[in-house]
Amino acid sequence: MIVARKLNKKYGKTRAIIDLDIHVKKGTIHGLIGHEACGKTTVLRILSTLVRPDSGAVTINDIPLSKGMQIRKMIGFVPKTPHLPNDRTARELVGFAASLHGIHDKFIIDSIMKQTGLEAVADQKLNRFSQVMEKNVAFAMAFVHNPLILLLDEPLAGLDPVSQKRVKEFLLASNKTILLTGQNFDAVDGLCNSVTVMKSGSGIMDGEMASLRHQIGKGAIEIKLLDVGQTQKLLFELEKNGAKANVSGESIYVHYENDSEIPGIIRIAANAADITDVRPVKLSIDDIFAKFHPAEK
Amino acid sequence: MLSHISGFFSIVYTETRRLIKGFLPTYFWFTLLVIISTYFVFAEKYVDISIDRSLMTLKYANNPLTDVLLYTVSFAVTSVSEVMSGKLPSMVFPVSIGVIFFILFPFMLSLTFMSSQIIKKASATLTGEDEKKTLYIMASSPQTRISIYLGKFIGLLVATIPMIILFYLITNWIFSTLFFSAYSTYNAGILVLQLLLINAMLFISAGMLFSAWFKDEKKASWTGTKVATIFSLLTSIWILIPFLEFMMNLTNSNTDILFYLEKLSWLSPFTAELMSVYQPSVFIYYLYVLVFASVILFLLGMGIFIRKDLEY
Repeated sequence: MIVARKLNKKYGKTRAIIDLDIHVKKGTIHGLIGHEACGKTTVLRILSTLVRPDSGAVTINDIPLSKGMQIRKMIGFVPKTPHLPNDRTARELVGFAASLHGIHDKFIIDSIMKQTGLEAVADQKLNRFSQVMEKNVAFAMAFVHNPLILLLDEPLAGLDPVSQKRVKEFLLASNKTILLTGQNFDAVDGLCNSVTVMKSGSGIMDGEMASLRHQIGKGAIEIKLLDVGQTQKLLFELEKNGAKANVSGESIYVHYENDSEIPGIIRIAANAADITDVRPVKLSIDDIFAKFHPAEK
Repeated sequence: MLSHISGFFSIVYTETRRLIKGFLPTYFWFTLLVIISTYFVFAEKYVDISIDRSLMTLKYANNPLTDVLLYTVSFAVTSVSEVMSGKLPSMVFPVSIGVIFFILFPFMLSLTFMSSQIIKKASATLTGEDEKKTLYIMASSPQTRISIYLGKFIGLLVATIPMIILFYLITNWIFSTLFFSAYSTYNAGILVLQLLLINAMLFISAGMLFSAWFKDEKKASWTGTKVATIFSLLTSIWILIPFLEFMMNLTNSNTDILFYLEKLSWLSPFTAELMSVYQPSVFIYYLYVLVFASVILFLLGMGIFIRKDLEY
């Protein structure tokens, strides 16, 4: 469990974190969502004891952040872009990370190399590695001591689809308390149980994903047609029935206020045109900013 | 606790391995420098003769270099008749002058070279990792900042050991072959070994302080090497004082400034280290000063590093 209350951090005159509250329940995955430089990484730096907060109370599994050594025993930390010494092999680095935790068991190291897909390249130096492979090494280094808490800075950024899938599956099956960051909801979709949306160092809202969608109170459906010539007819029919729609590229976006409107929209669309694809539009961080900070959108 | 200790040794091992690899060119140049400068000492002839101290009185220059000056003047006076009769005087040095040659060439050169290399590496040890953003690996592990700092300190110290041992062997060799007759009871090797070790500790502490203080590796290394250069310059002043005083006395100039110059030259640890080799009785007092300075610099650097926000 991670609890942060009234967290504040300044870099010079810049306030990186302002009165931020975070609550991550045990065994859940929590996302910190926000645009670049909104303070997400600073939160992870504070939680991993790399940076001291100016004020605020933070506990991880009821241990205060001031007991740094105990905190660091529990956490596994992966930066957004891991910078690793490239004159070392993957096995050496993972072995080094393990040894810092007092682990010298070769079986554990081999096992984590296998889990992160590094088995075949374990004895190659990192200067031959791609960014994706380096990130996998960073994952292996963070997971080697089987931490209770994972702090992951944009864990899926820069990964190929195969690695993304593997990481997602690993995280979902891990049953660990995980705090991860992302720039938009796409990054945490299907992964997080709850999120905190951050803007300029402050948390502008937090809660479970479902309740967040509910609070935003609006959604959209993206419709694709077999023949784009039918677009005008469909728009006419939708507007006649009081639905708001707009066209972007080859897609038609139909907006709704309530989930109960969805079946009706699909029925109208199906009667008016030949539909090839219908999908819900994902929750956007901009929707949240528009809702809670309309003037700043 | 055991896991913490084994983790700490892992830091020491990794740092030592990395630093020894980085020090390889330094080892090469150091060995070359020591061999060339030692050859110079071996190229001269030494006999047990005393220097006539009554030839001149120098007020400020109460250091070993006065002996060189006295010997030079003495040699000039005693060889005048030979020169006047058209003979080439044979140059034979007293053993005490041989020791000063050793201090001036192999020892002074090795000391300044080693110190500047050590401080340069030490200055880059934390800033380098900070810049490359690799420090998070250790800093986010259960190891404390104290362990990391101490691990890097020990790593640097161990990496300098080959240079210290080489110089210890060279010193033993010189004193057991060249100056054995006059210095048979003088354990110069052990004295030099102690001095070099403490000197290494001092420069590592200073370098690591810069490394913790600065954010930029270049700036930290620049500051470190400049400090070593300033110390070398101050010691050069100390070396030159007797010659300056002699010249000023000849021209009837006021020599008061030399008093301040001498005090200024004592700010350099090299000055006292050179003095200690010549007069071992000075060493024990100076030892406390060096150790105290090293501990203070080490603690200051560690304090800064503990409070430092780390990037990744």
